[in-house]
Amino acid sequence: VDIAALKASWARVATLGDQAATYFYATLFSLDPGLRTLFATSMGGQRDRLLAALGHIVSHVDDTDTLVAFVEHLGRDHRRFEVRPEHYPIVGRALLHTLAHGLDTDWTEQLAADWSEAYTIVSGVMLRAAAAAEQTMPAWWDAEVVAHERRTADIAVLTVRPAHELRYRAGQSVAVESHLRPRVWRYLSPANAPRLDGTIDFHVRTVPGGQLSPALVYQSRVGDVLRLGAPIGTRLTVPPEPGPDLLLLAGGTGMAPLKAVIEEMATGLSDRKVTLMVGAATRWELYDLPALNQLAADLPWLQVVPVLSDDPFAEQSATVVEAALRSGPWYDRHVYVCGSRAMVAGTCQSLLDAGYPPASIRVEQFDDKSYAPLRESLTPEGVVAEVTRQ
Amino acid sequence: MSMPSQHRRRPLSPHEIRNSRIRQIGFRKGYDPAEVDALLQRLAEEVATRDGQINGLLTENERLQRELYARRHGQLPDNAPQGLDEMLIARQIQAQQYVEELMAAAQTNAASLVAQSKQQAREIVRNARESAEQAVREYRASAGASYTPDREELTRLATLAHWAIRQFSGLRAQVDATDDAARQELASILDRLRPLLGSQDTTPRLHPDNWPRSPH
Repeated sequence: VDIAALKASWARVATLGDQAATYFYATLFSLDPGLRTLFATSMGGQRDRLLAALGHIVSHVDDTDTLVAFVEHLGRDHRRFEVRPEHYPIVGRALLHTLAHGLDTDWTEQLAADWSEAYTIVSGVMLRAAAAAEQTMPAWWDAEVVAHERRTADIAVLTVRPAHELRYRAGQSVAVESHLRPRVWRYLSPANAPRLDGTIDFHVRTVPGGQLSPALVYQSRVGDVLRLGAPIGTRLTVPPEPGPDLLLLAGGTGMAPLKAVIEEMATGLSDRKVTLMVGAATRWELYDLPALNQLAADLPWLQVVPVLSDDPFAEQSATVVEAALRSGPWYDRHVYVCGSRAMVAGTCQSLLDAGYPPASIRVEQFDDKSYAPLRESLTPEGVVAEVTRQ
Repeated sequence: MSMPSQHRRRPLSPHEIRNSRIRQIGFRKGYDPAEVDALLQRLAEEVATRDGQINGLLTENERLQRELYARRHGQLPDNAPQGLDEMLIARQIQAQQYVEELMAAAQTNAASLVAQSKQQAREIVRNARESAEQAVREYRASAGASYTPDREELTRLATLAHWAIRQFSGLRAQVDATDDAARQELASILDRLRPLLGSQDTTPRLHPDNWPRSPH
């Protein structure tokens, strides 16, 4: 395979961006209309993910270790989308047709042979990884909603019980799908450490105009069965071995994984000091304060500080990071940040400006725009850059 | 559960229920209308789910028949897609664009509804508080020696309650109006989409006129 030619041809097609991805999916669904049902109604985020994943593969085509690890994950992960082995050749045909279309007169027999060979190798790795995963874990976990509690106008706490044991670490995330919005997967973080009965709490806030979150908050009911993907994420977990004290900064429902982390630490012998600062606009939006206060009362090493940014009756307003910097310094701590995209970016920016070393700041965000495994190594600077770029 | 991947919700018995309304009669014993509405909505959702499952099974059946044919004859049936028709691809692209437009319109609508509601809620609260304080000032001015703190608080609460009642009916009317506007907008986009979809799919279930009405 001529790697340079692959990279050069991809670079040209990638400049077409969304257009190339749109053409690819149209070709795919023309080849096999049945495949359309494997995708959500809206294909916007899907096209971004395709381009990101393909781009990652092509740019690492000569770095075998990185490539194989990524592609294996891709193969395992595609089981929850109900992709079957017979779909792979159709996707390959659509991909080659798209490249030919994009390169037009520059598309040669040789390029076609190179791409075909590369695709066969990559899909082979995906298929083998998927088949191996078949032996050890389900394609997804069915999880029945056993409790649904509206806490505020736009926040609900859902408790689900997976049909099979779902092992995760506190601080990780799982992809979630509901029959109310078929094929729309979004990442949520369990808000509790693993329990004996296997139940998991999710804190969901509606994104106005969002696809999955309004359905989960307003329409989902006890008895609904959600699908959960395999847990991912490494940055918001706390290693079991001794380490520095922690400062946890949460915005809104971003406190879910941090609450789980605290619960997990409570089951161990950790004596690290933990300060959780949890932000909301108004006091009514501190939807889980009683539970947090109970944790603080039970755990001598935990301090919980509510922060209000826009409360009509509060003596002073502040964002979480403003309150943190005011009550600091925290230079000897690891700082975990979780919340909305804007909150995380703003918080990272302020922390970096205040001289907190990037290595001490831990963030993680899985969104619907990019393929999740590509975001596991996100740095605080990266988060800031991403938001500034938009 | 016998078919875990098919059952996304515990099944209830099947009924023709969408849009059905149960007439309320006088003051006799009956059912709680809210409960009836909730039950109807749940049943409607479940029937919709089952429709989806049936469609899925039909598609799967078709696929299996193709596979069976391929196994028996060592080849796919003649009507299986062979070459690629650029016209077909172009139509696919256009159809998807309309879908995205539809989704974007719905999402923008939803987002602006939420934003407007929040803004309005803030204003209602502000106005209510202002009127309450105004009423309290008037009470103080007129009460003279008969002033009591209890009466002042009562005046404040009465004004707030008065505001709350007035706002509720206004808000409901507004929500209904917005709902209708959204239906019309989405219907017009769907009308443009239909010729593109051709005869293969008119998906009447998706048409806004067929959406379940929110229970009033």
